[in-house]
Amino acid sequence: MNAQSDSGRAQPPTSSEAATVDAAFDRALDLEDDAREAFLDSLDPGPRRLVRELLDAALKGGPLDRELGEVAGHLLETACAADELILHHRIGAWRLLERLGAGGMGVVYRVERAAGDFAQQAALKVIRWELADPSLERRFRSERRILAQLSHPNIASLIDGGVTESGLPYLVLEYVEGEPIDAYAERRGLDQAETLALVRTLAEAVDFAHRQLVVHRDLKPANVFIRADGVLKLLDFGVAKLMNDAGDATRLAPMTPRYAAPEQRQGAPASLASDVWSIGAVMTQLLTGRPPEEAPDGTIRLVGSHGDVGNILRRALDPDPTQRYRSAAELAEDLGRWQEGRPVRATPPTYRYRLRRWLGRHRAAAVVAAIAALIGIAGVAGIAWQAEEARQERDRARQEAERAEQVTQFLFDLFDSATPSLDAEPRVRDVLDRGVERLRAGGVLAPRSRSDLLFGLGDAYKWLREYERAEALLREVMEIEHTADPNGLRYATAVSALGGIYMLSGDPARGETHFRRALDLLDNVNDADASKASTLNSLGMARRSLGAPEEAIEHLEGSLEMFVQLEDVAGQAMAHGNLGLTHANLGQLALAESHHRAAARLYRESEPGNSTLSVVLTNLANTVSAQGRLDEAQEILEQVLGMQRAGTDLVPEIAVTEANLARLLIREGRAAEAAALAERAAANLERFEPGSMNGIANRANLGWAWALVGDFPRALDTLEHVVQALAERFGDDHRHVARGRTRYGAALMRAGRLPEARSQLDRAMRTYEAAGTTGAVLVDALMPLGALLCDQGMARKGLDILERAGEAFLEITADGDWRLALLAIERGRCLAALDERWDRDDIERAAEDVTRLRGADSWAVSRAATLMQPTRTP
Amino acid sequence: MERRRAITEILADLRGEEGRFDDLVPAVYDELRGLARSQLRRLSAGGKGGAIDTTELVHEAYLKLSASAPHWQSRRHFFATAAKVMRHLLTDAARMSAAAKRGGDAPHLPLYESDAALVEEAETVLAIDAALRELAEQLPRLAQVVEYRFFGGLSEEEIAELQRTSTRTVRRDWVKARAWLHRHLQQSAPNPGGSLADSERSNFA
Repeated sequence: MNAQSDSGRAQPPTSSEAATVDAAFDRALDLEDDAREAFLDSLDPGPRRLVRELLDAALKGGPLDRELGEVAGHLLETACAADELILHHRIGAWRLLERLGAGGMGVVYRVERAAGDFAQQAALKVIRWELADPSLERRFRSERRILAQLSHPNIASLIDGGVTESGLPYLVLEYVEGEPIDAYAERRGLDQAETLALVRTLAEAVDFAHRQLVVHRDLKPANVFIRADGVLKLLDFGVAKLMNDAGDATRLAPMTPRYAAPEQRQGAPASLASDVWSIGAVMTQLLTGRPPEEAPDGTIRLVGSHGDVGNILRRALDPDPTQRYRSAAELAEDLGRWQEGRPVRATPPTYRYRLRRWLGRHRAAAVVAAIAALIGIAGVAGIAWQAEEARQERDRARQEAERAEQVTQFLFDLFDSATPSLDAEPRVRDVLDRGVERLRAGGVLAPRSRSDLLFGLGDAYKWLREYERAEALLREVMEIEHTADPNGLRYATAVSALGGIYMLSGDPARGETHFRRALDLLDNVNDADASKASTLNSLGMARRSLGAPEEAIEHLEGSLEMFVQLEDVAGQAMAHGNLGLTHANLGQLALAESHHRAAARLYRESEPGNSTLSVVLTNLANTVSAQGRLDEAQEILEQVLGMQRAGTDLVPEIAVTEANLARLLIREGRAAEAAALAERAAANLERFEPGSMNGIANRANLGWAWALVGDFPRALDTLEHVVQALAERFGDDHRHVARGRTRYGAALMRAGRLPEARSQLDRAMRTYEAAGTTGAVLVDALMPLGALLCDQGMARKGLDILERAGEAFLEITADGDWRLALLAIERGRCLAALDERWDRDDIERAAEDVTRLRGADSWAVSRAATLMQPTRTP
Repeated sequence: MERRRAITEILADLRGEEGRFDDLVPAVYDELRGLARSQLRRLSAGGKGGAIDTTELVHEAYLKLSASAPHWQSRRHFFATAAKVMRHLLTDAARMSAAAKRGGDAPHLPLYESDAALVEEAETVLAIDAALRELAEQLPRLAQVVEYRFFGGLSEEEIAELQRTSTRTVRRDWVKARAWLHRHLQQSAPNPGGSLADSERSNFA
């Protein structure tokens, strides 16, 4: 062997270098001897050497000059004969029995291994690709572990796997004897109902895996087997991903284009949504005998699938992933509905569908809300009652809009004319302004349609918080309807809607007047119960805003009763939700909780997937946490977060939930996690609802969480801004500002900046005293103030304050609250400072409590620790 | 018969559309292997010895598969697939053969004729495959020509049709690709001849 040969090996050229060299090589090939030499001399030394080598190689022979049969004849023979020859050899613990098939990705064998007294059979897949580096192998192993845990009766399980000594990864999967679902369906001549039952089973199995966060990626008939006993088995779950990880991307992609979602074919990563598409493709294959055919615009041509089934398919196969069923479970549910003869949820592609697409490209909360208001899709979740009110308004807007074909057409035109090209997306406000302009200009519309449109537009402006414009439009509606019929339902409805706008713009009294007037009018109208029920609901919420919760409850209960009469489940849910909120105001938490639970159940029944459900669950979580059941509340909020993240990408909703969850985590002493969540929520809240109360409250929590983990620069900066923002909004002496000051002061104290802390806390206390505030809010101020006074050498005064805190505490909290323990410690510190007796056992217990409940709160723990130092005796 | 039906449908569906030919891989794989085996039987029955003719293999496979779906018009994709499959088939066998030589746990192939011949072939195929992968990153069109011509046994005219270019370009690409690959093979394998300096040559005298 010769060492020289190795030293000649250069780094492979990059593709642009190679292209340059190749061009020079090309040229050199065309030239005769002298000219070629001259040309070569003109090149840089690097390329020159390469071109010379290439010219050299071109003159000499090599394996490519012979036929493949000559170069690799024996190999080809053995490869083709391999079937019989490889059998009875082993891979790992497995003995090969039969070659089941081969594909672009590898070869599959039927294998067996000894397992006790019998031989376990399985399918072993040798994957073609080498695991190029150790990190890939690690990933392969960890993915395998995840897949091994995927245990479901309809999913063929992963039994074993590994890497052969020659470096090829392999998987051992449950061996399923049966036939592919399409062959089975054809052979048995399944009818539509039988077919859809199979697809439903498939969707449920896929959903099971999705909930374990495993995506199939390669769903197709060949991967869905029906066993001889009729049981469906889904093969190769997640295998495509393993292969992807193991191989390099330049090889054949492990997916089957005809059953792969459009975005997946374009190179986007597989997702839950792409699996949903694939289920739709399999369903199409089974129903029509062929996979879906796509039109040039990506939509699906469905032959012979009409009505509900066609709608289900269209929904599953929407080219836009966000417009598909939001989960395999939703698809399964719709199939279930179809089986039971209930209306399916797949929406026909009406104007509403088109607007949703337009909506899909707009992310601002206001935009979402405005269009949602027009067409009645999932809106913005808030924690306050407004969301409930909004939903009601939205539903009404939807009814109105859906009634008139003319209205539909108008909206179509509006969006078309406002969307000249894709890169010049109109702002919602522009679209609405244009709509108003057109309405004013054109006289072609019937008064009724005109009124419908004005109503819808007014509602949309309301969502943009342009209450004046909304009010003006609704007044126009009222005029039109009054002229048409001053005693009619439509006029009364308009009056009620105008009341809703006053409520939102912060004038509940004026809202109340309108609701009452609407109710009077409705009394004289036939068949107005639905309108009456919702107006009564609004009246209740107005009374609640005006500080009359008992009366509010009366109205809400009346409204609930009417909704029950009307068998309007969504209405009942709304009334329950609002009753829950109102009872919570009165401190009747158990009652509030049962209403919230009822609301959640009813929303689930009537409109699963509706974002209002997450609002209701958030309210429920608040009530549960107020009763001290933090773990449970956190579970509910995490469920909400899961729903929101899995569902539409309404970022503001998710941010609100994250903010709520962060608040809970702070109370549970998990400040670091809280800070991370709140920080993300803060970014999104500021983007989507700049300056909102939700955003400020979340900032306050974020600052406090930072203070708890000892990040004082950021904590103090944030809290200072919070106080400023609150003061600007509510005026210096508002109790909301005092609440901000409390947090700011406590953080300053923790940072050791005692005089500034004192000034903030004193100011907060003055506000609270003037307002007669009690309860938890007061305790939050008293505790740090008392402790601070002790630290500043005013132990007597501090002790008094802490006693007050203790009294206030008795009203609000139960044993096991870490703040009680901290209070005991602070009292001990004051007593020690005064050289008075303090109970060492008590403090020890309190210190233990604090450590147990607030392990991560090093400040609180250290407060106890300094007191417990041996030099200090009771 | 299930498989036959599936192939018919796949082919009927293709109708010249790009990106769908992955479905074909298993079918082509099996067809090529089957045909290769019968060619081998013919060769040994005729007592002629000699090597498998891959050009004949691929075209025979095309005729068989397209006969099962007369509407199918996409020769392009069939040949592209066939060449790729042939390459996979051989590199798989080569890898297994190399592993068997090392005593690994891969299903090892009994080495008939001479052990050495098979091992040498395996090494050549693996070297070509590796060189081709590198070339594919740098000059993909050239690499494609090698796959079509060497592994797929396609003529210059067929390749020109596949790449929608002229036979002249194909011919020139082949000259260049061959030089690139042979240069690569020379550099990665110990090579006692050729470009070595005279003083070194005496070592092998």
